Amino acid sequence: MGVELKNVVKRYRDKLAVDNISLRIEDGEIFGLLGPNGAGKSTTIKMIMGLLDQNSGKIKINNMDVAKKSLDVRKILGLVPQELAIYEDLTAKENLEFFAKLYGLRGKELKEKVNEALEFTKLTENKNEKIKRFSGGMKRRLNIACAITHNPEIIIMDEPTVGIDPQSRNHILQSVKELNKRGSTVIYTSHYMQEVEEICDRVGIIDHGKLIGLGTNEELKSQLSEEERLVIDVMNMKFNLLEEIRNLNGVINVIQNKDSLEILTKKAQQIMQDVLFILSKEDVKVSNISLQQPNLESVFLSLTGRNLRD
Amino acid sequence: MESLTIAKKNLKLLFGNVLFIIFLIVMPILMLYFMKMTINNIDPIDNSIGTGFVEMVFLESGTGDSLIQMLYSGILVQFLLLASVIAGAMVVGEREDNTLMRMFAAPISKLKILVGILIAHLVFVLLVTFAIIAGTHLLLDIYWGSSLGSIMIVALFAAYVGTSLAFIVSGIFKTSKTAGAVMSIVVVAMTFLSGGFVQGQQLDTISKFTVNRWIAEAFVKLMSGGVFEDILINISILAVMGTVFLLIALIIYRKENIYE
Repeated sequence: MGVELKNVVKRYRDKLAVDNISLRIEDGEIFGLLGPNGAGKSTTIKMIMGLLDQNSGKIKINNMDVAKKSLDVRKILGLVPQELAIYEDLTAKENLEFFAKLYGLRGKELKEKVNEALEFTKLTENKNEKIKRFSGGMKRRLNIACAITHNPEIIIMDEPTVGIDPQSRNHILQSVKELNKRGSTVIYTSHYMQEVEEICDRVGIIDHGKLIGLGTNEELKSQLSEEERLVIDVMNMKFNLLEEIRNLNGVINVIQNKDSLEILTKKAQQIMQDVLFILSKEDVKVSNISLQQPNLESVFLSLTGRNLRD
Repeated sequence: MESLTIAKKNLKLLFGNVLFIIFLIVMPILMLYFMKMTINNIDPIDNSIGTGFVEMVFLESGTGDSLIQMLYSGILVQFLLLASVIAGAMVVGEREDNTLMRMFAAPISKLKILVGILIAHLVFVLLVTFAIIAGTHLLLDIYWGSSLGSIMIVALFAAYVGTSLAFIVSGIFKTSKTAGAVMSIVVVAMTFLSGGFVQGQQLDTISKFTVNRWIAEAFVKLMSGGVFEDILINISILAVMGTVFLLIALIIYRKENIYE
């Protein structure tokens, strides 16, 4: 049972979008697929949905081969696409009814499930309003509601929080946890490390179409057990100093954020003085220094040598 | 069942655009009104309308009933096919709004989705045709023939061909603007080749390959007192054309990421 990918390869002409991925997603878990834009997350999702055919390999859902039984497989899946996929000229209720009917829901059952989905996404009061009058957050919630009305066993969410306000994002993350509590398996793709770290039981890290890391948050972070994250908040960073810091003995990698430097190292105490010396040469003002445990971002950096947001 | 669900939703969206419906119905009625006025002013002796700066003269075909019927049916065909342009634009619009992908992610076949869209457009074009026929008959006293059923059957097959053609265009062109523009060009080009703008022997052979010719000819036959048997050949040709277009569209829609 669950979702199983075996040696899955997908090519778009000469470009290898998914490169020999094998993984298994167990029933009842929230599985995160983490990777930067263009890493191959959406392509993987579309192959699981049966919307794209793989060039080689096998995808099985509840022991059903997706390539051979795509219509049967889709009955137990619910897709929340990255972009909004709703009818602006219909009401929320009409949208839900339409998509639920495509999954065979009719009569009393349809009415009940639509009401449940509206209630779950807190759109009951707006059910008869046309979508074009909805706020961005409300549209996002309806986008999710359309995917869950038929109570799918497996919900696939493709970057559902892109471009929304923090409040709506929190609401969506809570919804994911709640859906999982109710028994659905969730596959959640994102390039936001914090989201994945917060809600996912297990994570697959994907880059350039390859699965480069797989495990629970703790398992992945334990790969960096000897490493530490030195975070230095700076006020006027000079970019020419980055290379010098990177070249210090003991520095594994450096991420430069808007107002901070994140240095992945095995010798935080030893290099701290050297880093501060380099910064002081160019009069860079330091407002705070902290030593933090590695997170998934550090794992990605360690595995690829790049920032997730690169 | 799912096809009917899609058809119902599409009809709701189509009829939600009130301004467009008014345009589709009122515009041909107005055009037919002005045409009727013009024809009524023709001097029966020299075939001209000559009271202003511009003098119109009907050449070759004369002022007989057949010419008038051809002009009337030409306008009707133009608007029937224009309604098909919307079919194409609507499919592309669904692709742009990602709703086509959501439909493709549901447990229904692509064929059922296309059939659903097709049903909606057949019903839509039939209702628009009925409104134009009824409006021009009641307001302008235009005679479209004695059999409303036969007129509707011609309209049905016209919608079938037009929508199938629109599926092809929407499968090839990725934006609704491009698809709409290409469909409009196709409609105008077919109108020209079918003799809708210019009469002459040289276009007669080419016109046999256009949709317009077979639809317009069927309307003319019915206006001239013809019965269902007289338009059977036209309907058969339209059915073949529509089916060929639909099969081509199905091949195009087999492409795996057609929803993007």
